[in-house]
Amino acid sequence: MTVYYDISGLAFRHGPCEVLDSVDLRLSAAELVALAGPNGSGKSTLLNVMAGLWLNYGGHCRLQDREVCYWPRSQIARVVAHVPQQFSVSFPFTAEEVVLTGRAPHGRGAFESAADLRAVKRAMVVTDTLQFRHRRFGTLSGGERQRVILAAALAQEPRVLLLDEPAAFLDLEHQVALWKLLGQFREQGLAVLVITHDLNLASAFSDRIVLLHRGRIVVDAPPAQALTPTWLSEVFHVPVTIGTAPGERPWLRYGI
Amino acid sequence: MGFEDTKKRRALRATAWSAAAAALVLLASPWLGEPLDAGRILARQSPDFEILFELRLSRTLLGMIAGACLSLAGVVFQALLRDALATPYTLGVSSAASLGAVLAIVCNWDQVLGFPAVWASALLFAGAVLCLIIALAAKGMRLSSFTLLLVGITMNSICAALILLLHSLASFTHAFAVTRWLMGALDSASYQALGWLAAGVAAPALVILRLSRQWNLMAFGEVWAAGRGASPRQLLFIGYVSGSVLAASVTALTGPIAFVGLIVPHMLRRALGADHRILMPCSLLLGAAFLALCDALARTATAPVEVPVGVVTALLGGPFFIWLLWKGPRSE
Repeated sequence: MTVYYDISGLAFRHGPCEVLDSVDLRLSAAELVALAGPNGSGKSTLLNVMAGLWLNYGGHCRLQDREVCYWPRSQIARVVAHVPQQFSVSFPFTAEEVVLTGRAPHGRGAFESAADLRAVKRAMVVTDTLQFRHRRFGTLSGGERQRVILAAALAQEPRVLLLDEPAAFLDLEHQVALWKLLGQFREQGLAVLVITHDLNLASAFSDRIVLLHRGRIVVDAPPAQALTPTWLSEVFHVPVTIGTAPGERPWLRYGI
Repeated sequence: MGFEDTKKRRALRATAWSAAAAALVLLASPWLGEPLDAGRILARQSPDFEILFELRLSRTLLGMIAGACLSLAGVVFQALLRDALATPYTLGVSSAASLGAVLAIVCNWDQVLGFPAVWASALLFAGAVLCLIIALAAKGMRLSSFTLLLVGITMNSICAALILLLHSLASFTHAFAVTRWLMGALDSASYQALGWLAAGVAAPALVILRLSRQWNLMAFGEVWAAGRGASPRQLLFIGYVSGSVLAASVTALTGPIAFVGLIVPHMLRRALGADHRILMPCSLLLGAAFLALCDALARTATAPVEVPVGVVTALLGGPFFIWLLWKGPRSE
């Protein structure tokens, strides 16, 4: 199995503030990993470092055996697609134009090649967004927007997807649809790391759950082992009850 | 409805139409106004020949270069700041040019380094501010659209204050000249000056146009651009410097002309969409046509008295803008 990310002893500071502290993590092909943790635990920072957006990290963050900080930007974007939490558009771009941006790392020309357009079409078919490709991005619903943004990331034809809370603002149906889609990406061999606050969906769909707490990874295990009441109530400061049925993934109830 | 290469064809078609419109304006607008005798012009007879070529054509050309530069600078600043309300004057370098020009007027300088003092002083001031910001960036200021905007707003305030100060200290005639200059007006210029201007703005304009696809990425935010393999800080820097050179060079020759850099990109974005590969060449060409037409109106509407062209762009563009808003968004 191809290992894409091999992270060890990773540290990151925002000024005096230590955001990440000796983080160890591996991410391989055909894996769907959920990254959870309280607000401010360093989840987005970890994703940004992995995507090569912040280079002044300590320790090691290797992508395909090469430190992320030594990857040229255009090259890393051909392997890794990073989708930030915030995505706002103040101009009347169409859905298709949003997806076209995913092809930027693959060509230096002013216009997309035929191969670029094929990749865009594939990505839009997979995410079921082709029907509104000519609509303005700003007029789409939250769930549609999220799918268009995913299509842009897919159009990049990456090996690794790093998603920062893609399910925020989605209703139940769209959350489940999103996780199913991520499951499909995993089947196609992509390495997917997704930040989420929904531990039930993470438990149902992901291979591993990584729990980040104050910049350290406290748990990195398959859902059945990762979701334990002691860990969760310690990290999230709410009472947690774990439910299990034989042969099923654990589910949890919290706050009550 | 295949997934064929429509983007490129659309861009070429829109650019060709815009170029045709600009060419039409270039050919037609020197003839507007007091009628000229074509026969006398063909025979190179005075004064018709001089009026057409020395006065009206050069003025039209200046208007077209100015309109093109202001529109393109507007589009690139709007993309960098992700704000459709940004103008060529938002980021401060043009105000420095205004300050330089006003200083030259108030101090009654005639020539600086062999050039007309107003132009030279304006360009020197703009260059100084540009160098200051580049130095700040080199010293480690985090170059982001936010810091650029902050510095720009600060520069605008400082320059506006200094201009007011100079204005209040100046004699009555100088104060009037300052006010007049600050309204923004086109005048006939020598072909040599036009040549210098064109040479100065050609390079930054080409740089901006060549990076059209990158401005699309920047319009979605610096993080998005970085995640798609672009270098946001480098692009910010290039866009900022090129746009500033365009806006400041024009400001030195014409004074600040309001509204062109705001309304032309806005109207075209509504008509053609936001893709900068279509928007930028069309803004350049139709911005040129728009300003030249406004100027033709400015010099003919109330002849023999001339209205400053900035007044016409605002009075013509403003109501049209409101009308567009009234009509609501373009149908999907």
